[in-house]
Amino acid sequence: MNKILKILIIVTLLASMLAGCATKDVGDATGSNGNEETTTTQDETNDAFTLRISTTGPTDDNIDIAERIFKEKYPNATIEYIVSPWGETREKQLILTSMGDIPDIAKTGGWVQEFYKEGVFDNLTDEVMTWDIYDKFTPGQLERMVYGDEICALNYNTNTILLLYNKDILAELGVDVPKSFEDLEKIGEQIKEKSYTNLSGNKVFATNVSTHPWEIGAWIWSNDGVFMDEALSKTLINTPESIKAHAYAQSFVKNEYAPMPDGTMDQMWLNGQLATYLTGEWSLPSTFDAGINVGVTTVPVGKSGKTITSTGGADWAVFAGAENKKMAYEFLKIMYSEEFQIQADRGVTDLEIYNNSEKQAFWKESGLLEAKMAQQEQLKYTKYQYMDGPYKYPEGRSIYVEALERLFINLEDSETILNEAAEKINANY
Amino acid sequence: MNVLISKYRKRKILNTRNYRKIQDGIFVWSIVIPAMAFFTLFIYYPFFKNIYYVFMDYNYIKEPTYVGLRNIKMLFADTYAFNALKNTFLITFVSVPLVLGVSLGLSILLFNLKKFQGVFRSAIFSTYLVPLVVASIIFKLLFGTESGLINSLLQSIGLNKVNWLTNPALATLCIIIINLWNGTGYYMVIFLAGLSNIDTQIYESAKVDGADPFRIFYYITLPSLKPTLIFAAVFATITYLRTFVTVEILTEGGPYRSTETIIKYMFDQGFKYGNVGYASLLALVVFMLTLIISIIQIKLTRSADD
Repeated sequence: MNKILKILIIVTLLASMLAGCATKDVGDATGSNGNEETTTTQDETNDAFTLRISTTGPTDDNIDIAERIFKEKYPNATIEYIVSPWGETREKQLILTSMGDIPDIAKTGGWVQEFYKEGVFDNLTDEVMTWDIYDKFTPGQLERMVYGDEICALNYNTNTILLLYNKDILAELGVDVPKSFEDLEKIGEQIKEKSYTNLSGNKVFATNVSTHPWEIGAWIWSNDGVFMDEALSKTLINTPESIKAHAYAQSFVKNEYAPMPDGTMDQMWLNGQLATYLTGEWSLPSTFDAGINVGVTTVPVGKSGKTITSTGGADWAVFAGAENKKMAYEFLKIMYSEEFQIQADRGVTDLEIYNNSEKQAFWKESGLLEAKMAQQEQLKYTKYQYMDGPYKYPEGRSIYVEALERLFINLEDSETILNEAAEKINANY
Repeated sequence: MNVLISKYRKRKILNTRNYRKIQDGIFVWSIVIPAMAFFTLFIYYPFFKNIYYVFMDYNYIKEPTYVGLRNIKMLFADTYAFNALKNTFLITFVSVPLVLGVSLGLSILLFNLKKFQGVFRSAIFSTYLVPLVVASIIFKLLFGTESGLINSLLQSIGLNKVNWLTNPALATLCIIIINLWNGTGYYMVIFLAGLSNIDTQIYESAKVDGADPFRIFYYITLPSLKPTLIFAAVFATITYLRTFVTVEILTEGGPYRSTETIIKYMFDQGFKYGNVGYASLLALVVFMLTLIISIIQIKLTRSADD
């Protein structure tokens, strides 16, 4: 009997080992992302099918509204959500792909091109170019959606950096809403001269700088700096113009117009320690809760006379190995339809929808109208911030972040720091 | 007839014995098999798979391709990895004696406390129950240079504010402070359990012989607590060598990589940069280091004992 048991245990262990060692089929995942035929074609009304969506929640991004509209059209559809927190969605999709458990649709962010390059996402070019939304995308949105000349995802609920300002502080200082970075400098000077503090006696600053590549875009682009060449083959953070733009942002910290970025900017803004805050619409709910008398406008113009910020929002992609590719396209088409965008609270991609009176009435009621209008204006002047997810050399981001920390925290020489960082990054292209 | 009966009885006894043996066997194996399967699937298999990836170029998406010793060569030229190791050792070798020292001191104080021992024990232990993620978020707010409570308090008593999170040395200190705050309760309870196992008669004899509290601690308490101390030291070392959450939330490895630990670096390499082979090598390095340090600790303690 003991022998039998021993044999049994050995067989079990071997089986479990072999099960783990089994070669997974990644054919779908690594397959080309050209215009291959879909693996399943759906009868639009009769066949029951399940659409699998990797996202952050069954109601996030108003996906529940899209589901309702989709099910009206395809009553036999079942939507299965593979949910993960936003910060872990990339890793979740990576693991799903690695296991060969491929969903149909993916909510993505800065990793779109990285995945597309590896053949994980489908080429949407031919499909999307026939959709109504295509002509309505701004250049900034389009830049974010492509890999080379191919569309690999659809930018969604596009947002960007705006200028939030504390009306009470500006009124006490007797200054207008800043229209340029020079105006911000003047506010900084005034605060410093008056040793202006908040109610708790804490120091107040004119604005903030950031060590986050996506957020610093506003400072660099608006002041004539650049991050990459057009072919994305070389970083240009060390061109004379870029060095000047970085040094200009650094001067705000040096002159104490902006605090050293230590990851507590949200708290400072809510404490009433920032006269203006370069952030996005996502900071508004907590601002309202904190009782701050807030105004929202576009980012001030820089020395170039331009205001340019990074294109944000989420992106939707279709997996190259999706079982229901055709239905996945249909679902996404709904998410970019006018019908959906008007109903959805967080789903406006087409800038023209901002002018819809129904939407404006809703935003007015929730106190968001000013922010939304500022966002509509700012989104006309956005760019894709490649340095936030440099898919050709992912470590490039951390090298650049380290450089920004040296600039804004250790206040080191901008030319030396940016030359060093550019050399390290470009050596890997 | 008698012979037949005795044969029958013998066979019955043998059958019963065999039956019991089988029953025992089934019982034992039913416990052992799940445990072995668990360890095989979740410990040994990933471990050997990890070694396999060390020699591969893999990014979770494409099929792994054999690259020989490329990842190992990469490690020797990687200054960021060595910097991360240095930071990890600094955090570990300061945190371990600090946390254990404070925990031991508190446990002796509480052990000798006549009243409210339970209240204090629970209060101190409660810090351990706060998830490290939550603790890190709260401490980040406390350590803020311009908005943090700690600097506000310092300024209210006329001191200058401190750049807790933007000064490399102080940012490391902040991580150690969180380790101390979060870990003290746990080790204190362990030491309290160790203290309660020491025979009180030894203390009484020592007092009768006129031993002072320091001698009692050095010659009685410490040697008696040796097994507990070894366990605590090894466990704390392993815990702090794996520091990740605190760093990820409090400093994100900054300023300028001064708090980047080897586990954070490994995570970034494996998940953010798609260098699974290289991340596997870093995991192996952490494993080897943990093993070596633990063995040294145990050997040193044993030799001191001898």
